[in-house]
This record gives sequence, structure tokens and C-alpha cells, in this order.
Amino acid sequence: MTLQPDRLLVVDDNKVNRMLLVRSLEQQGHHVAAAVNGREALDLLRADPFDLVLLDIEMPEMDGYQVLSAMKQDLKLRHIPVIMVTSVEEIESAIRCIEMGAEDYLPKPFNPVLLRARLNASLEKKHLRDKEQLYLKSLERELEIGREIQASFLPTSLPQAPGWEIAASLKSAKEVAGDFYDAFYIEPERKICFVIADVCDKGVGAALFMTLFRSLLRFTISAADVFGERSPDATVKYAITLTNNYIASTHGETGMFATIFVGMLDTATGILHYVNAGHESPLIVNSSGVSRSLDRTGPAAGIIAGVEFEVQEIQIRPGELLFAYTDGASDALNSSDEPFGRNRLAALLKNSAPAEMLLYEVSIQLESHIAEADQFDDITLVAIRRAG
Amino acid sequence: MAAPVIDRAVFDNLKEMMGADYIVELVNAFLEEAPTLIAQLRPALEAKDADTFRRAAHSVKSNASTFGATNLFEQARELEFMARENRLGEVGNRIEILEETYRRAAGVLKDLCA
Repeated sequence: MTLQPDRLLVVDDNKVNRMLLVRSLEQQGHHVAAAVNGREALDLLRADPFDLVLLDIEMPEMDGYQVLSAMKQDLKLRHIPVIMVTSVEEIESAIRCIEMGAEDYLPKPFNPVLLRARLNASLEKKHLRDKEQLYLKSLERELEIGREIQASFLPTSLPQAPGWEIAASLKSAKEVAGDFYDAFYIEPERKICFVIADVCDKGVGAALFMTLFRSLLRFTISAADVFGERSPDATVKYAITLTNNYIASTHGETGMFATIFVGMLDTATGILHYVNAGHESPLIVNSSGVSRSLDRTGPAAGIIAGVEFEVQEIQIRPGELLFAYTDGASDALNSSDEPFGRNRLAALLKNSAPAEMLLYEVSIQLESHIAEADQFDDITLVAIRRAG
Repeated sequence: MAAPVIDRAVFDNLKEMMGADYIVELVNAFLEEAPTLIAQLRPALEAKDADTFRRAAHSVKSNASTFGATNLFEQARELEFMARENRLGEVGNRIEILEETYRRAAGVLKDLCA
């Protein structure tokens, strides 16, 4: 690595002092600029990047305290280390400056050895911080790329069959999520497959497995037809079984798994074939409230290869609504650590509201519950409504 | 024995650090600035402007210490303290003494640079 010379700024109204410092610093290999007063110093600092400032306290107009205070209030300047240049009698002033955020002080007349030592200590800290900032920025960039790619794993639009409304939302707790939903046509204008799933854990690890689960499910459902599985119940079973077996046998040692609800809906009849692999029970809501809950028909996927998943069949009748969610919604904590709760979630469900509106209202309620607390898990909601 | 006008050890050390050419520039800068600073003392005293008085004395003191001008340093420091402690009434003829000390220091510095 080649070391760039550091850019230093000397601020002193006294010409001799300024010349002395500039010369000494240049002799030590630094690039040095000089300002004759506080105002000029701030102008230079705002115009160009500097690695360190050597600041005199006693200056007319704007003294060292004022420059230091202005720098500490400026987000772009507050991290530039400042070494106060003071006479030995001004030790009290130097202490005050260090309390205000100055990095160190250098007594006048200064000694080149001391100057070098104090400078190097401050610059080393500055360089470490710069590196840390660069690293954080590149990390943020990576996560942003991850977030964008992951967003492309969610459907860009949801199928809208005549007489049906489908709405979905996902709010991740971190940059990338372990939750996902999916919905796509199996048979044009008629059969829709939909999925809601929650990969254990959160963040990057969960996000990687989310893409795997999502792709496996989509692929196996789409491929079922090719391999001769045409009936909806066989297709659902085939997809969840293959996905479960693949993850459990290939990635078993990672201990990653997902709770999945996968359903195949015939929009002509309202018949739904589904497997609930360890997921929060979706609810069917009619005009008098929650009428049924679609409970588990098998364990979470990805843990045990060869396990059986049972397919259930129900009918969503005209005027009924299916509401599915991940536990990030029911378990959302407020600042007193109280969960939102399944009952409260169920009480919000009205089959009369348009699906999109219902999700919006539930999201608003969840947001106001979480309020100032940290959202600790991804929240995914899916609503499917059959016109009455 | 009276203190020398310029402490040669301090001056030679500075010369060694800065180089023979640069010390000339430094001395010239001092000879250029110091009279202006000293000239601020009397008006500041008359205007009871302790702040300007203190800052001017402070700058002279600081440069005097750089060049090893021991007497000039002591006298400027005394004036700075008087201003800081709001005792400008005690200044008396100290400005005249300081001016004379400066003239002598300036003369020796010029000789040293010749």
C-alpha cells in the first residue's frame, strides 16, 4: 500500500508561528496549508479534505474555541482531529479544548520530536477511522445490492383473477429478509399458486436461504406438470416434498429451515389445496369474523428429509377472505416488549375491506404498536379475497 | 550577570532545525510583524481594550520565546498577565522598556542573520 502524504492545516494569526509549524510539518513529509484566522480556516476545511488541524487558541475575530466548536457541530468536519497549539501557561485552555473535542495539545515553543509524536498518534487514529468508514461504506453497498437482488425474487405483480383480489406486503427488519411471498398463475386465468414463508433467523444468512427456498418451490411447482403431476394436490405435495428433501439432505448441517404455507387455488371454484409446513395458521374470514384456521399439516421444511406432508382441501366461498402472515406480525414487540398478539391481529380482519386496504390497515396498526421499538423480525402479510 | 539579549543555544537550535536560509525568513517575518504588534499596545491601553492588549503582548511573547529573546519574552509575558488580570493601570513605563528591549533584540537577530 502506498501512503498518501497527509493534508494538514495550520491555523495561527502569528506569522512566525505559522511559518515555523508549516516548515516543520513539511520537513516531516506532510502537505500543509495555512490559515491566518478562524474564518479562513473554516472556509478551507469546507472546501478541501484535511486529515488534521493544528489550531492556535489566541486569535482575533474568531478564536480557537470558536473554530473548534464550529468544527464539532459540522457533520463533515467533526471527525478531523484537532491539535491545539498553546503556550505552557495556557494549559487550562488546552484542557477546555480537549473537553470540547480536541484530540491533543502541543505546547509552544514546540519541540519537533513532540510534534511528530503527537501528530502521528492523532493521524493514526484518523487513518483507522477512515478505513473503518470505507469498510462500512462498501459493506452498505454490498447489502444494498443484496437487497435489490432479493427484491427481484418477490413477484413484481400479483395475479388478479376475475372475482378475486390478491394483495401482499413484506417489511424486512434488516436490509435483507428471510421472509418471502410468491403468487403466480399455474394455469392462465384460472389456477394460482401462492406461498408465504419464513426462513429461520434474519439477515444475510436467512436471505440466502430465502432465495433457495423460493426458487426450489417455484421450480418444482412449475416443473410438476412436466413430470406428470397435474392434479393440484399432487403438485403441492410434490413441490414441498422435493424442496424439504433437498434442503435437509444438502444443507442439513447449516440447520436452516423455513415455515411455509403453499396453496394452489382454483379461482373458478374457490377450491384450495394446501400444505402448511409449520407455518402460522392462515385464517379464513367471513362476515361474522374468523371462521376457520388452516393449521399445520406437516413440520417446517428443511429439517428432516423424507418426512410426510399432508395436503388439505378447503373451499374459499364467495365473500370470504384468506389472511396469511409471518410471526413477525403476531409477535411484533412494542417498547415495553409486549407482542401484538394473534387475537388482536384476528380482530382487525374484516372480509368487507378490499384486500389491499386490509393489509394497509394491519400494517398501520403494527407500525403504531412497534412505534419507537426496533422491528426485530420481518413482517409479511398476504390477503386473498373472493368477491361476494 | 544580565541575561543575554538572545539566548544563543535557543537560536542555534532553531537555526539547525529550520536551516540557515529559512531562519533568515523567520527573523524577517518577526522584524516585520513585531513593530505592528508593539504599536498596538499603547492605543489599546488608552482605550482600556484589555483583549487587544493581551493578544498583542501574547504574540510578542510567543515569538520572543521562539528566538530565545529572553528579556523580551519576560517583559511581554508580564504585560500579557497584567491585561489578563485586568491590571492595565500598573503598566506604567513598561511599554517603553519593551520597545527598547525589542530594538536591542532586533539588532542582535539581524547581526546573527548577516
